[in-house]
Amino acid sequence: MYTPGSMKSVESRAWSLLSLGAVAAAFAAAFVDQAPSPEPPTFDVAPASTSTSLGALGGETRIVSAGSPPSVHSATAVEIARGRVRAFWYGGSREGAKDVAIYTAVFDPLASAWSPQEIAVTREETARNLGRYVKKLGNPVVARDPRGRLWLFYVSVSVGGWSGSAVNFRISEDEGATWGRARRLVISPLLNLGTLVRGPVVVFEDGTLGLPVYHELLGKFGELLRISPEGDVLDKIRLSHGRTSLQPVVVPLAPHDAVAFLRSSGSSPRRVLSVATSDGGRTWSELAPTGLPNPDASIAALRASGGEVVIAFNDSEADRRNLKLAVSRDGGSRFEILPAVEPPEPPQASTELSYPWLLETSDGALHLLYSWNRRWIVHVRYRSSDSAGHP
Amino acid sequence: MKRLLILAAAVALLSLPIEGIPVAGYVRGIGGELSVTTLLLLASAIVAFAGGPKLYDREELETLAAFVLFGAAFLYPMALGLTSFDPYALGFPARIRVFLLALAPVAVFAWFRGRLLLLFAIVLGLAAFRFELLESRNLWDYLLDPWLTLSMLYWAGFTIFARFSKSR
Repeated sequence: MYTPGSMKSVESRAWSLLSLGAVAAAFAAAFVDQAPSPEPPTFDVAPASTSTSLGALGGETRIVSAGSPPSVHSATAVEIARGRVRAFWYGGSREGAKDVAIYTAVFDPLASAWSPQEIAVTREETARNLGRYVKKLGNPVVARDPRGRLWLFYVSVSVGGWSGSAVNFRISEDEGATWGRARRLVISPLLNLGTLVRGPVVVFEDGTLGLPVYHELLGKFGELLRISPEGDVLDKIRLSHGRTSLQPVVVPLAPHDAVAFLRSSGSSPRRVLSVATSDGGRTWSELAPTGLPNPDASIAALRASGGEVVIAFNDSEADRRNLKLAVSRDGGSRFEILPAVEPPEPPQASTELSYPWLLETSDGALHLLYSWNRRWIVHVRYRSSDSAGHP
Repeated sequence: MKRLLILAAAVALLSLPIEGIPVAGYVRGIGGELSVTTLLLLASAIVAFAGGPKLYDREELETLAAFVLFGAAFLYPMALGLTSFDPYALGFPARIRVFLLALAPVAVFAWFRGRLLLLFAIVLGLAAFRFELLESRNLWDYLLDPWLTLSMLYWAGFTIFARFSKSR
């Protein structure tokens, strides 16, 4: 028998079931669509060759930047076609100024010379691409993905100092001559503030990229992002926590093994800090000091083709007046310290050699880039006796 | 009519370009992106301001506030580096299934108790996450944001204070 009340009850039940169906559908869509990779990723590591690239080092020093703009810092570099090296750094009238842009230049080993510098990224273009205000640009990090594309990750700030940083990226299909639109990575839930990049990207065997990042808002700690070939953050793994470590540099040693070195900050021991993984980067050990000093300064490290771990660091707990390379043949536990890098002019009390970047090219040469008094970007090419005759 | 004109003027102001970027881009640059939950509350506030119906009652807002504040208390301290465990990482695609399993009972509770505001926030958040409508690829950013947390904290504090004053 029909009554208005029973009709309302039927309608209400129908709505209720419909809403439950919508909830179930929303969960199912998110659940099915976001299938994680079936196996934990492993690091893409080339087997060590029998010959060492560090037999007898002989360095050739060149200045990369042009001297103008007057303030330059934070070099990064990648090998591009025909054995050349493309470097990036940021430069402007002063650090944090609105005119800071990211510059690039190319080193040709045949000519043994750097090309004139060019602007690769500007603040204004980044702001237009992102549809939001950008106050200043900072550290760049360049990487090559398994498809051969170059990725340029870089820091930008919209509000405040470096603790208000966010990370952006652009992709180049032509070895860095032109770049796609800038996109932003969302890494932190607190307005996406306080995340920076500095260390080189590692590649996982499934084709995803591992981007080391660090936080400077309240906490100071390192993390490793896993980024899809489309540029989406798939996962984030904590390398450290607390307020003592910055600027992680991850060095894969074997498919499941890696060591990461971090800059010490605050009251932590004035030593280069390290963490290690043996499960492809899913979990990392607690922070531990290495035997190398660190004056709260950026470091660089890589695994050379001979299997050694090479690190560039300031051999001091107090200042950045010297820069040295050290070599470890046991995966980063014990280091043999090499003679100090010689800057283009003899060091003085105010000399600062900082923000090193290491790169090994396919000809076996080791390249070190660093900031010299934050006025010049300097390049040192080390060629072992084996590779010196084959530039 | 007057209120619609005010809304139109606000939209025009936010669209005004300064050095090639709209005013909204400056707000976005400084304030970050808003979650779907915040957008839902803003949309319902705009509907009410324009003379439309009020889409939720006090009880609905209380339940949402409890969800937001519990979520924020769990998320923010650890996400900012307090521990080696990072709850924010659970919102990224590689780990999302754990998050969804934890969120499902909340949605069932909201459905069972008829708390449609919370239910809509979760369903719309999940749908927006599925279709990647925000810049973030993290489900947390579709459900929560700091401005929402602060608003709910203020509202909850104000409500508790008012009740306490009344009971005296």
